[in-house]
Amino acid sequence: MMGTKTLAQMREELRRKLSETGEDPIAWLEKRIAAHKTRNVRTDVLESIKRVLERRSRKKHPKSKAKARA
Amino acid sequence: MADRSPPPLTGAQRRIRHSRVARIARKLGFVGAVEYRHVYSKSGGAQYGQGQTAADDLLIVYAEAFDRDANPDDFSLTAILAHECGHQILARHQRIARQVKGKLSDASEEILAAVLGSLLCEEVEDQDNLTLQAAAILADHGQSAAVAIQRIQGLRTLFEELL
Repeated sequence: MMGTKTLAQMREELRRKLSETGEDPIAWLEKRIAAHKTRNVRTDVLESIKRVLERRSRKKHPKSKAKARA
Repeated sequence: MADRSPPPLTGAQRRIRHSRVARIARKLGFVGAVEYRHVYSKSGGAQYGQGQTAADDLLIVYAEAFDRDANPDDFSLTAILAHECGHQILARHQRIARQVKGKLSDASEEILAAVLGSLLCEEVEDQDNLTLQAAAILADHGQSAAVAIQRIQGLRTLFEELL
């Protein structure tokens, strides 16, 4: 089941969790993305999280499209 | 939401909702019956039920899925259905089902369903939101954000290879 927590609630919980690193969540994610890229390690999950935290609300139109496994 | 009833719909409006969820579910790869029930469920909007075979499986979508879809700060209908399709993959995909059968806690199953669901979505935004859901559930169960993200990345890579 999807559960009843909204996306906004989950986003805030994860933002709080990331703040426990002592850094700004976006800065922390950007630092990890840069570090992973230099080591040729995949960054798609880090980048997904960063996009969700940066996104204020879901835009209905237009939506970007990408292949699911890109 | 759960304490009240959804606003009434005409028969035609219900049929439109059913057609929409059936169309999205098929596009996401769901096998089995798809139903729309115009009630609030406390499930979050949809529920997967495992039948004797995949063709007997059932996806029930509830009124709150449409409420959530209309809320710009919540999951889209597609993301909600993709999460349930993730449950069907966990139950039906030969290699994945064999690996996980009887080994998953409820929370683990939700995490894996979210990761699988993220792989089924065409829209980047839905992919991202289900990825966040998986990480948030893991973090909610005591993992640090760094470990949660690393685990989700590992699962994503594994499922990409298996699907």
